[in-house]
Amino acid sequence: MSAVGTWLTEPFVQPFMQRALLASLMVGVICSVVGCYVVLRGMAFLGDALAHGILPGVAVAYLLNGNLVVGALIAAVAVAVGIGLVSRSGTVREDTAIGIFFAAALSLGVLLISTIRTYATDLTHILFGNVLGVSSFDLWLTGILGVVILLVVVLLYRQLLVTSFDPVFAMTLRLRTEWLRMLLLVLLALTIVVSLQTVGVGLVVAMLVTPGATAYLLVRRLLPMMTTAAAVGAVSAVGGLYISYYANVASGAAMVLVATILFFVAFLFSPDRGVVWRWVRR
Amino acid sequence: MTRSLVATGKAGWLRIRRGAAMDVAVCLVMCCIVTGCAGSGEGGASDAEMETGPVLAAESFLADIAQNVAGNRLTIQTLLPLGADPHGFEPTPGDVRKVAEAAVLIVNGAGFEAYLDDLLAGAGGDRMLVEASAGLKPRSGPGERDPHFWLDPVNVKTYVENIRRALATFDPEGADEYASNAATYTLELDQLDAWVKGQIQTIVPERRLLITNHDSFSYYADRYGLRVVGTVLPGASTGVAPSAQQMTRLITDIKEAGAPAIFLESGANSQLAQQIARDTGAIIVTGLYTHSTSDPDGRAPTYLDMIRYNTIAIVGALR
Repeated sequence: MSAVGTWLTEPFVQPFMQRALLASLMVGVICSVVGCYVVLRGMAFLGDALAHGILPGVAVAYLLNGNLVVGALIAAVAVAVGIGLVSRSGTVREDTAIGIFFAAALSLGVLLISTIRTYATDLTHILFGNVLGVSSFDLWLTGILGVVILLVVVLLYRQLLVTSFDPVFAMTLRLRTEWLRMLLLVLLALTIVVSLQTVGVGLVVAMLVTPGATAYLLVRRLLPMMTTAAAVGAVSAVGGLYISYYANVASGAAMVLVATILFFVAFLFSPDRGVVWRWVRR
Repeated sequence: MTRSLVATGKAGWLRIRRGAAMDVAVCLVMCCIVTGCAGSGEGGASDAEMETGPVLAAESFLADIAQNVAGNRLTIQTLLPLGADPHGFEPTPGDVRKVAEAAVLIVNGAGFEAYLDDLLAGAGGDRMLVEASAGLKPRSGPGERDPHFWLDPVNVKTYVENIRRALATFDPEGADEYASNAATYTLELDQLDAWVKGQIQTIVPERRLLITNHDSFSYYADRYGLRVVGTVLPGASTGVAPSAQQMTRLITDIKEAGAPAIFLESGANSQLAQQIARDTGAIIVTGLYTHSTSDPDGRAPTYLDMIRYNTIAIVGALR
């Protein structure tokens, strides 16, 4: 095999790296597709809030000896639904509701964790993520939830599209906009939990927002934007894993930084909206 | 009195959380509160001394060693709850108060109590600080100092001497008693050392291989002729995760050496170890006591029991 070939395959000789590759590819694609809505509807803050909102669920699951991912799932959906319900009638703005729920959930989580005085390594694990420790169960869970998320995005493509871009038109079509908004919140919650094992709470927002934002600079329509974002997400995941292997650095952070570099390349050189071309044309 | 009740109640709670049956938890906690009190005076201290003891030891195994030196004259209290990971320990206001009230604080030293400086600054005041491992030479290795001296019983003889000297300074009237207690306990340590040696001898030399969660068994391995093939977490602390390269190297090393088992301390996260075991065919042995004794009715309520339990687990997996 050629030197380049060896260089490319060497990291994935070990089964744990194969699992890591599969997990980060799935997460890269799922995050990026859902992330398109996050970028278009300005839900980045919500993504961050949900990522932190999982904390009490994780703590309770740990205290009850349950599965941490399931705990995170329940908490994230609860926070999502809570934000959705409180901001429903419009008396409380959505970002205000996010601020309230996000801080409350985070505090509850910290409070619960402070009662745990034995090893809390499990908890730091879920907060910071470790793609190297991904088990087959995690892969299955990511895979199944990923398929569910992508299926919903595909099946409700038209409805979600209309409510996102033209709420007034959506009303005249008698679409249940509130219901769709809630659904999107739940989708986001699922995506975040799925990604936690791989990139951790701190970086999950970056995987949600950055590929979508990159794609938005390159294409106009939603469908191409989703596929472009998925490609950016996948390239970031695989590239990050290589960098992590060869430079001996944390894998989640490497993935996010690759995505960030791709974003800046698009920001500067995008055919339509690139800063450099605009400057040249002037 | 109330204080010790709270402390034992908590210990029971921690133990239960590791078990699965939550519905019986409340009942068990109650049992521990009722029965645990009687069993908590490890060295047989009288009830009159159960109020805030003037001597505090950071970890439970240190408290047990110190209690053996103190005999019936003093009650040694423990700062860290049973089962807590000293590497990641963060003191609560109650812990700061315990330290503030203590006249003597015994620590392992060698950087093991990373929280110590902040804790002492928070507690203020003056107290005698005893570094039990003082005088022991950290094993030369790459990177940080390895503070896990105590897993080698021969090193603990130095602990005993340091503690004896401190207690004799603190309470000169008891000096003779402390000296005789220390001599008795040192004898027990010698017996333990001889027993472990005999146990390890029963493992064929090619299989005297350890893989541990973090680098904690080096002194033990050095003493008894075992080789640490690698550790799941790089370094002597539990607070770091391995990189992809380190995991790959570990898996290769395990396969090359043919190491049969990965040993995890009680409470350790087995997620990475499970994936490594899966990829190498090694078995996982959990529940080794490295940083804490068990609760009084557990499998390793004293320091001597910890070493015995670990040795039996290691021999059982490697033989």
